Amino acid sequence: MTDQQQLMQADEMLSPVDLPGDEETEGGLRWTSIAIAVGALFLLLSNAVTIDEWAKELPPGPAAERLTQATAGWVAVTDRIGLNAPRALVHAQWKRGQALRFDPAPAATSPAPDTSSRLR
Amino acid sequence: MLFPTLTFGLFFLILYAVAWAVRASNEWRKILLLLASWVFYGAWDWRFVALLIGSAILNWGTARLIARAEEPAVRKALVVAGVAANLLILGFFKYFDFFVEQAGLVLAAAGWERDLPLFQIILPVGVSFFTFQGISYVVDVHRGRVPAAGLLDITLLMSFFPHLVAGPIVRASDLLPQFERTPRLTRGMAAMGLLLILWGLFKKAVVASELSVGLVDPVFFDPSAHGRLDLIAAAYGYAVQIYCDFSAYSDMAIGIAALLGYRFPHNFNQPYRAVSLQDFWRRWHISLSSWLRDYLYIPLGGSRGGTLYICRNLMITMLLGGLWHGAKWTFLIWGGLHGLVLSLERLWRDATPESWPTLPRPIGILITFHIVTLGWIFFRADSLDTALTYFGGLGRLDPAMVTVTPLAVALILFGLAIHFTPRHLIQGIAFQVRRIPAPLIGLGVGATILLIDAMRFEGVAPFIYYQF
Repeated sequence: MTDQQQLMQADEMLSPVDLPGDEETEGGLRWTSIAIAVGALFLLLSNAVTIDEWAKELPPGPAAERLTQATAGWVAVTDRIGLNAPRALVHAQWKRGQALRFDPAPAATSPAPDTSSRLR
Repeated sequence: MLFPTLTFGLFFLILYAVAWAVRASNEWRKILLLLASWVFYGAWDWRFVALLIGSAILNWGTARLIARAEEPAVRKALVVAGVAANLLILGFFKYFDFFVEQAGLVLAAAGWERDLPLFQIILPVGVSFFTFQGISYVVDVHRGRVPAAGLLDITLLMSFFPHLVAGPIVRASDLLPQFERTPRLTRGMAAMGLLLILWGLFKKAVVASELSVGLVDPVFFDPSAHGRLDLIAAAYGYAVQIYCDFSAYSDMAIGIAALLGYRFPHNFNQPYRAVSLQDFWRRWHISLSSWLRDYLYIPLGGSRGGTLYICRNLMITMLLGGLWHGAKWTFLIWGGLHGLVLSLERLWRDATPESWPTLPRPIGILITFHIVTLGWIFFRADSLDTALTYFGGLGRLDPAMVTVTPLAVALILFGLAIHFTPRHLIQGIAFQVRRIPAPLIGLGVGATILLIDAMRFEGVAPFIYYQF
């Protein structure tokens, strides 16, 4: 039976996370833990800017201040190595896409609703 | 605490590590998950945690009494009392001020103007979800579908953080048997969990947030300031936004629960490819529509009886379904519209011979999608006046400036196109992913999150369904 046929058969199963024949796979916890750890490490190295922005939004206090200093230092280190470049490149392209308009004249939109409740 | 934030990411990393470290004792693991769920919920307001615990104790106690009672009349009285107590909690927090306001208006119209007391009640996040869960539990114990469970299991069932604030409405019969033994994490579950989290993150942080901030919010904030093109685009935009927002929450909830070893049921199944409104409700917020079917529509009589009787049941169910979303006339109209169209579909089916040709599938999809989108305008509008202004603007021909951007149009088209991908696309990918070495998967997960983070709007707004 092909993967797709097995999936069709499993359509009425309890949950979308149940894959047919999955009981045979061993070492799921180890596999997942390694994947999560590698993913977290990758983000720690490549996404220092977001970590720094998050730290800056924490409620003020001595601990937050120390953390902010540490994250700012980490941004400087990763910048020097060039690890922040891929994110910056994609972000710049995305911003360019956001700035595109059908109407070349600047749009005078109505006041935007308050978005100050947004969280990082 | 919102799923797509670094704060939640750190919370989950710690919980994941500790929860699996203590797996030798299922009871301690459940206690840990319960405490973590309260920390998660308490991040909004610690007072809500007390309400959650009180609600869990109420349902645990009622179910115990039902299980012990032997007289059918006593059992029935207990289940009625349990359901009423849950509805009282929901009614007080969600509808008290609304009904007092309406009573004030009626009295004023009758010449009896009075200052009625408004409590300015703060709505606890997710109250609609956990009270519905409580109701289904006591009813299921009464019907003998599930045995009365222990206090720890019931409290965890109602408090478990992945589904706590915006569903899916996970029933006792789904989760309690899973709580009885230490869960096991398979590669397939983990692969599906990771994929659902990433897919949900993309839908919420990129598609829903961009459409919300760049198009839908400004247009719905003041529809009179926008031309027809913007109004049409924002209506389609909201249809995509609410799907990407709500299904994202469900996907992430299912994925997060999977990484902790638990299975949640489906909540969405490509709803905008529905060929009728009945089909739509089999695909949209499946846990709520099946809840309404099992605990409201069927007890009302369901599809037993004549056509008009069935239509009455459909109308009552959908009106109450609308009111469940909030104490506003716009939600009632939204529910009423769905009830009306469901009734018309039923009348049409009963009145036409089976030999008549049915509507071609693409036309059915197109008509259903536009009825749903029409309903979303009421659903999204802050008030009835705003909704009427919106509809008035759709007929206006003035060449006003254009807010909709090429990016917004692209995201709307993307949000609709994903409804026409193969039904099991993500599961198919998960089949392949589970065979790949873990370090490579980790790099893939990290790179995808980095990509999403680079595209997402500055900050993340709360999920739409948090307000319900």
